[in-house]
Amino acid sequence: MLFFVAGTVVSKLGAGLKERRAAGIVARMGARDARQVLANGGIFALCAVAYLLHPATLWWWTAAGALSAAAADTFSTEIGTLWSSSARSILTGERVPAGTSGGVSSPGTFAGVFGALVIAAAASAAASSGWVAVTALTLGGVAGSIADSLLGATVQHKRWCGTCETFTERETHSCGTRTVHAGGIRWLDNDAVNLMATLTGGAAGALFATLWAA
Amino acid sequence: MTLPALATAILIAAAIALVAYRAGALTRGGSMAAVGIGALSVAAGWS
Repeated sequence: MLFFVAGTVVSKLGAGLKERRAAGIVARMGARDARQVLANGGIFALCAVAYLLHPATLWWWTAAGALSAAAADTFSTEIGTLWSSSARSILTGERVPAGTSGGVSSPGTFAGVFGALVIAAAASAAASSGWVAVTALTLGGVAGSIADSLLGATVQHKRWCGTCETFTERETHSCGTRTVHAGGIRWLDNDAVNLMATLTGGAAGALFATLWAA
Repeated sequence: MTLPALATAILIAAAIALVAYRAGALTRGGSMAAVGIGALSVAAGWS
């Protein structure tokens, strides 16, 4: 619940400015649909089902790590886009427009770590765990966020607008031009990358928590 | 967890999703998915 409240607040911050900056790049702006919610919360939900069927602490750590990764991604994207109109590619360091998948910035990175820390602290408090768990889950969230950027820069589906001569995730660019496939795996969109990133965050969080808290 | 406690928690999740929907942060489908995830979290005793 904390994740949804925090995610809603951070998404609404400067929404108009963020839309002007990233509307031509990202596939969908504004209200998150069911696909986007499940991409961020699907691993958490699966862990809850697994916990109901077979109660084990591992599912709790995995769920918390996945949620920490989702928070890191949401905070870094929303604050990074709000703070600056550009970012740098995580692979090449070249300047890319804010909102570009695989783009990173200092404010976005700090916001992502803060988002992961908030969820990690809440999850650890709920489980009556100490700072070791907070650290493990925060690092899990950050690992998921890094995976998100790396996958976004390498294998995520990318399209090209010939009129504006710019990369985009949209099938029809904001200028009205129909875009063409320009790289990445065709079915691997931003939602699929988010799902894989939360899986990475969950696995990393569970691994760190199991190793260090044992 | 008792049934009334579960129902109360799900109602809270639904209220938060409704606020997010009215604020324009979630679509109708997105808010339904959020309530589903919240309900699973409560059922597992995590919320």
